[in-house]
Amino acid sequence: MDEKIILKYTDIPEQKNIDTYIKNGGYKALQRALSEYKPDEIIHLVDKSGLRGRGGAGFPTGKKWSFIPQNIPLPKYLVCNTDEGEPGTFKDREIIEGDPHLVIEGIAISSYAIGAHKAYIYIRGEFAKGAEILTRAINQAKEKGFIGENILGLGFDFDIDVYRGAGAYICGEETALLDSIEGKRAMPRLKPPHPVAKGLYSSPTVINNVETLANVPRIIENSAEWFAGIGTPHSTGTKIFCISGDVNNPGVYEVPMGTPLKELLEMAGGIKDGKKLKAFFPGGPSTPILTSAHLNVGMDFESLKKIGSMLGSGAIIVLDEDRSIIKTVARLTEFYRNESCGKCSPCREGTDWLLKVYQRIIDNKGKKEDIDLLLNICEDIYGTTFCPLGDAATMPVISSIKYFRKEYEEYINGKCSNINN
Amino acid sequence: MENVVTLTIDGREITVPNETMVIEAAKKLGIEIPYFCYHPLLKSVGCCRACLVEVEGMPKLQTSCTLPVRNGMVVKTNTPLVQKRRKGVIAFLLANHPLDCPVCDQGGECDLQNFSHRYGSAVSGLKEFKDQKRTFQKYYIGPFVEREMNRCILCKRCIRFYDEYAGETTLGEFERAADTEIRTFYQTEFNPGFSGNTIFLCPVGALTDKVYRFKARVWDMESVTSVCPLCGTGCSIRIWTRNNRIMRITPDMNNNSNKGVLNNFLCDRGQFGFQYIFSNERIRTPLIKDKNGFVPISYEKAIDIIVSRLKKSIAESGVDSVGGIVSASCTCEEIYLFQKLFKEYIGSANVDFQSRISDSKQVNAILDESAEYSDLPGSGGFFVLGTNILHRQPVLGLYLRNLTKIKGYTLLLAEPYKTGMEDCATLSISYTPGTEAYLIYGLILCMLNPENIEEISHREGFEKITIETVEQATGVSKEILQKISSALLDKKSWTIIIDGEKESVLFSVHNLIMILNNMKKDITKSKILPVFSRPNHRGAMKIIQKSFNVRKIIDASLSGKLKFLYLLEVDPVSEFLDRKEIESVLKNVEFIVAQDVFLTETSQYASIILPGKPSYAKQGSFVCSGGIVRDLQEGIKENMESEWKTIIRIAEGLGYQMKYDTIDEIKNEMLPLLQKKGKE
Repeated sequence: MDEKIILKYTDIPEQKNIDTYIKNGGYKALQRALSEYKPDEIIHLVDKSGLRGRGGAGFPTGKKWSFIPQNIPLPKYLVCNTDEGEPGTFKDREIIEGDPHLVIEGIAISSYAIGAHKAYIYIRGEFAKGAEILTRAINQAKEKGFIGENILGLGFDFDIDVYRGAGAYICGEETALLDSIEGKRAMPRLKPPHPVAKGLYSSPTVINNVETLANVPRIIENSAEWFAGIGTPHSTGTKIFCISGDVNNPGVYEVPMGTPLKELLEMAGGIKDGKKLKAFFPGGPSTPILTSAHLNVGMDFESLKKIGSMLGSGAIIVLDEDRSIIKTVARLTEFYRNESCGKCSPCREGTDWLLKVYQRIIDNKGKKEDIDLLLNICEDIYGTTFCPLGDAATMPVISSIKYFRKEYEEYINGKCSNINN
Repeated sequence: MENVVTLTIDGREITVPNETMVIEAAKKLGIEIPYFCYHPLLKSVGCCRACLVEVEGMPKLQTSCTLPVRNGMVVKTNTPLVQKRRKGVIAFLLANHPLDCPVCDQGGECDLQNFSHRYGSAVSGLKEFKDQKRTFQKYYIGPFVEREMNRCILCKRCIRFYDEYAGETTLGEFERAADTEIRTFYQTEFNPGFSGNTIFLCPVGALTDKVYRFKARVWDMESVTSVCPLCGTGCSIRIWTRNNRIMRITPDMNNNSNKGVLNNFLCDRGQFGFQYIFSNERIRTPLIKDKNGFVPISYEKAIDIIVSRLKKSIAESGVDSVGGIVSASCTCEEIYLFQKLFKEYIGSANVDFQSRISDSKQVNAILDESAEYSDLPGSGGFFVLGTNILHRQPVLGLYLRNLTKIKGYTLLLAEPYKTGMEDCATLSISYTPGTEAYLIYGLILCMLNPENIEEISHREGFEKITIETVEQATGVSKEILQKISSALLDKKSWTIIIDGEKESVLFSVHNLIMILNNMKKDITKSKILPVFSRPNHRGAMKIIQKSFNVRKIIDASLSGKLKFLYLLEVDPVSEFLDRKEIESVLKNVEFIVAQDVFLTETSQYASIILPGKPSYAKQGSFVCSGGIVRDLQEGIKENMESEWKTIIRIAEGLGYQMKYDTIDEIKNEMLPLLQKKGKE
């Protein structure tokens, strides 16, 4: 199957306009959802399609929606997570800039499914263009009656607000994101209660990734069975991969789940300058690094988990044979050190400490024991932190030492050949 | 039972109430779990990660401060994994900590120090980075609290205290990650009303006491538990002394014997206000007035003169020519002896402790039914009326702020001016100052049917009051009055908090409460909680019950009948309402003995001035506004005669035998007078 689901129309510049979008079949799914389905039928449909969250954790979307308590007198909210802070990830930007109405339609259908009358698109501050495109699209949709009171005359009231973040990696964490919308300093909240029970303004809230929501209209348009038929049995549908690093054609590539990395690399034009693959992050730096030995791995939730990594956000960062693993991981550690929200001590102090060790190694003052020190620090961070950010920070360190311990030793001994890369 | 849960911690079973956190359940078993961000008085956030425990069936370690107990839960607090992770967390906290314990005031009572010793690793992997510790600029945050950010471990108890109690939001986090800094918003100080509590809450030396700074080490000091004398709340304090000098005063939170008392936080007045005792202006020796002003005389001589003047007045003009006024800041024992001297021995009825005329019997009867602090959590809502509670009894106000803002209790607020409680109130109104009685009567009118109003309005003074007159007098509209009264009629019990010194208000509110309780018979009774500015108002009220004769004293002196007046720690010139009148009273009296800690405006009228002791140097008891008897202990010893001994000496001079060797003997004799005792 080589048909794209989400990026089908993003190459058409006019797709941003509601007329083109409608001409290409847009908003039919919304019409159908509102007129033919009851909310719980949509939840059931999405559940049957096997759609899993595209933000990183891969939680079944239908299941998440079904957790929303229906019989309480509080408003319900849907939040579309467009924070996309994971380094190397740029798929959501592509979707909202290329086909904003698809996201809006997905949000509208999903809101109907969970009974929310208000949705927020939390978009990272840097996506100025995206925010502008979305706002314009929302206004167009309002004019056409796809957003507002009594949508399409089918009795559903619904509104969307675009909320621009102020720029912090932690805002991608769903509860910190909610704090940010509420106007507070973004810090992860204690779970439980989970957002589905007590989220935005203490009301039941579903938070979904852009790509997840963009899949929803397609499931309605076609069928749950159709969607479940794409990809692998447990990772259904397509996945947009953002390939960056040492490849000839970096960019976004939408392929069915389970496509081997090898094929993806070929689509991206292979490694730059004819070099060899050294290592890659399969789903952003928060997922353990893999090496050229894993070229044939299928890019889906299960296959990657089996070999000790994760699908993450689908940001494949490719390193060629001349790249210094130590410098790469040191740079990523600096990122986590700066982006830790500062709430819990293992993450705040642990990442700071990791960076100090890396700095020492890079300054050629490293010691043999530093490798074990790094691992020890990671061990004390992993599983003790408040939110997954701390765990994420240990991933590149632990996995890079696992596969490239020799390079670490050589670097520390001053014998490393690719020291300047 | 439904509301309890049984779980196993380290192989031992314990049954605790629902919603208890594992860390608290473990504490009950005597199992210590280290913690930094957790605090019993604050909501748990789980950010320091030191209290991690293993729970069967849970894949990851759990923070015991955020983990509610469940039936059948099996918790292990001391497995090798837990020990290792604890070591890790403590190492992280020490990673950027300056370890300047030798010059840190927190040394000796520092959680980080203690838990590092007990649970940390003896070997540090950090030595190599000791020159790379993060540092921060100095930053002024207020007159009482010194911020040393380098030592901070970001537990955020200080911020949370302001969020959950004091309500001042100037304190916050700035920057991110390892660069996070806690300070106030650009160049502002944090609200000094309750800032001292952050010192006590801070588990490390990041926030320290500016007054106590570098004065002593904890292990060099002695401490006693006492009661704060600076308002009517009766907060438990711990007086820390070194070489018989007070170094600091802290809340006495861990004293379990203080049940039913607000022994949690202190206000800045209570925590730092003790410094007046060091003043050079204190009266240290007896003074006598001669032509050139006051000159020192010996204590013996002063007593001799007082006794002879007393005798002379009684012999020449009878027992009614002598009298005394005592302060509600004195201890129960002092007040008891004082009134005993005049009433029982001399036979004069001229004793009082306050400036207003009082229907003492009725007031005491009302006060006996008033709420205790321990009743507050069981109350459904609070109605604060004309008290400016954050000023009068700050810690009570703080407690109310927490109950209403965080725990969701209802607060109705009626004050003539803004008092700083408005943000917690569900309904906040203002009225014309001095019209409390009208306001309450208006509420009663709104509650009752017209027939019932008939019944009540025959009472004297109320005949002509209609809802319109109430509106006119108070400036509060009928709609708002109805709103409040229907809230009060809501199906819950109320605590009405009022100024206990204003008797007209006390009586009106008492009527209101009687009507409320009558109309809601199946609900727990609503109660009054009076607020006082003096620490022992309620004690004085009880002890001097039978003779509130301040009017008699004034009249007697104006007509020249009063010859001798003993003023014990009271300053009528500045405290009494009619200053001109009291000045002419004092001028008319031949001989005045004034005993006080400082010279006051009244002192100039005195013939003899005796030195007084501050409460921190006294033994005795107070009855706080919550009605509980609170014991004072001698924090410091001052080398002057105690007030109670002075009274005994005077009595002995007159030929009466007051046989008391200790304060306790007086207390035992006096206690029946206080009748209603606190629960513990």
